[in-house]
Amino acid sequence: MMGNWATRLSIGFLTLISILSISMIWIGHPNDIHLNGNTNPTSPDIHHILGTDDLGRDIGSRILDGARISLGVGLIAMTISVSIGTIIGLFSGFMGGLTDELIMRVVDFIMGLPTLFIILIIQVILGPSLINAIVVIGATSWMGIARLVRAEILSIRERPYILAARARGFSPWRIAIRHALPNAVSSIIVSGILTMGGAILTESVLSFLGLGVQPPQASWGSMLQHSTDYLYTAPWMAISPGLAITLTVLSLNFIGDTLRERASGGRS
Amino acid sequence: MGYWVRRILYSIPLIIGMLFVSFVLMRLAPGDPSNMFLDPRMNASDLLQIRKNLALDQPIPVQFLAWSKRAICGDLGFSTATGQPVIQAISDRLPATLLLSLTSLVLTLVITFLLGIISAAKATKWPDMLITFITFLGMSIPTFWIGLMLILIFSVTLNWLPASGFYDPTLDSSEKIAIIGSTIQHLILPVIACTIGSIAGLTRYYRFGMINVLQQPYILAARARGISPWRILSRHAFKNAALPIITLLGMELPGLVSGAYIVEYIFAWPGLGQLGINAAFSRDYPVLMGTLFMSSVLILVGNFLADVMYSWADPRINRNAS
Repeated sequence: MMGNWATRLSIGFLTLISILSISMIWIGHPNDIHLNGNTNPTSPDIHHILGTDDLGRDIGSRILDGARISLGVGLIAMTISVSIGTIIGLFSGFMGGLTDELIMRVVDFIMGLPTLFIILIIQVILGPSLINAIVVIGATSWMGIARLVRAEILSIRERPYILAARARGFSPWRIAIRHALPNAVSSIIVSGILTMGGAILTESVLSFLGLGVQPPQASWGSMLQHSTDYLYTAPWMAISPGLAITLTVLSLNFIGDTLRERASGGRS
Repeated sequence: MGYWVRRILYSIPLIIGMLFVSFVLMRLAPGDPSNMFLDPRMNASDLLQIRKNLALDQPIPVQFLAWSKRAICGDLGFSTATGQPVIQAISDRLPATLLLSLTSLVLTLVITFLLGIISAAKATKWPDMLITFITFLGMSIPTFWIGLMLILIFSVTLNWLPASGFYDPTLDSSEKIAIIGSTIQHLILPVIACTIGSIAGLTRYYRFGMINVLQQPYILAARARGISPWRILSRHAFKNAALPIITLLGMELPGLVSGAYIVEYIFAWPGLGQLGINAAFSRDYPVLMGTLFMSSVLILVGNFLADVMYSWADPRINRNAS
């Protein structure tokens, strides 16, 4: 829909931000931290393109540092949710009948819950930490993928080649993983990419509420949480981390959409 | 008739499920549920009595039944932070949440229909491209950041609208009209934030639906009869493409509620979301569970209303089901 240029830009942006954020581990920014006693945030200038925060830290460097966390959380949470979703979808689709009906009702039920709120409660109960955030986000976002995989399995389970595999006496799991799953891979990848965008958004909300990444680690959400105290005096602290989240998720959505179009043969 | 009976019966396991989720989360929470009744003047035998009243000395399934019974009767315990009954705190906050949600819902639908129609009528031309880009943007912006930016632009920089609260607290309670005016002023920014967050997905679906409908033979027939394109869009295609939106709205409700809660928190809007998020900060478990349970029930009711609207808009539903 948005054409090739948007997708190319998106891939370029994500690659750039990944490379820069990973190289930050070794290089760091010369002005990363200069605690010069000046605790007033300074507005963007030639030395600090995105300005500095209340501790004199360069916001651009902090955003690249935060990118590792935000992208990392998105990636790992997405892996978790794709794994859970695929296993449950495969199981449900292959079992069929009452089991399938029951699992899908449970999936419907979970999808009807205010998930963000449940994530919030679990974070409060477990104690906020990065690992907990990743696991909880992953464990509460698999439902869409489970539905998708199940639908794919249902649509192919009566195909002749699956029947042939059955006739040869292969075990249901072998058929599911070796013969049926490869057909669902393209749609799993698409919804995995979209799930990653969602996970990055959820992480930013959690960290914004102080229930995700804990200081001194920075994520884009926690930078925004910090910025609310300086909204009147240093608005640049609130602008660039939000832009970083938006551009990253936008890129993922563009890429996901293009892949979806390709997979469905040009139908939009 | 049969359809509605089944529809209502279908929500019973859902309510049991919600009670179960709340119960499990409450059991996982540190501390004993009887803590929420603690009072320094109590002695050990009082505490035992409380545990007995709450059925905490019983096996877990019995505890669940007792808890469910109390929750259904509206007894959700007491806030550990203020000592107020949870159901009281929730019903105090409900009007503000409903005001914000329903206003944004109406605005969302109006904008969705407008954008969807324009997008479909100009499919693959620049207005369509622009609207598609906007919907992608809307899906990608964190709702809370929209809130921050709205405050930054309209409150901090332009000083046009208030950044937080329900109405100006300096107003006397007798000045009804001034209070209503002030509430509307306070409502504008949160409603915009909620709306931007929710139009994206709906607009995309509505555009798809509209394009599909516009390919139907009856639209071609209308065109052949020389009916103007605008009339075809507004009278012939609009309603048919709007049908799936009702169902979709029901499905998107949990996301919309979550978004609205964050917005309430950002703008200090005194609704359920602000109550729940502040309860998370103060580890006020009874209020947290109560808000979770209440929001789930609200979503369930919303889904039910969506079904009612659907069967009103499309009478075939009732006939097919019975």
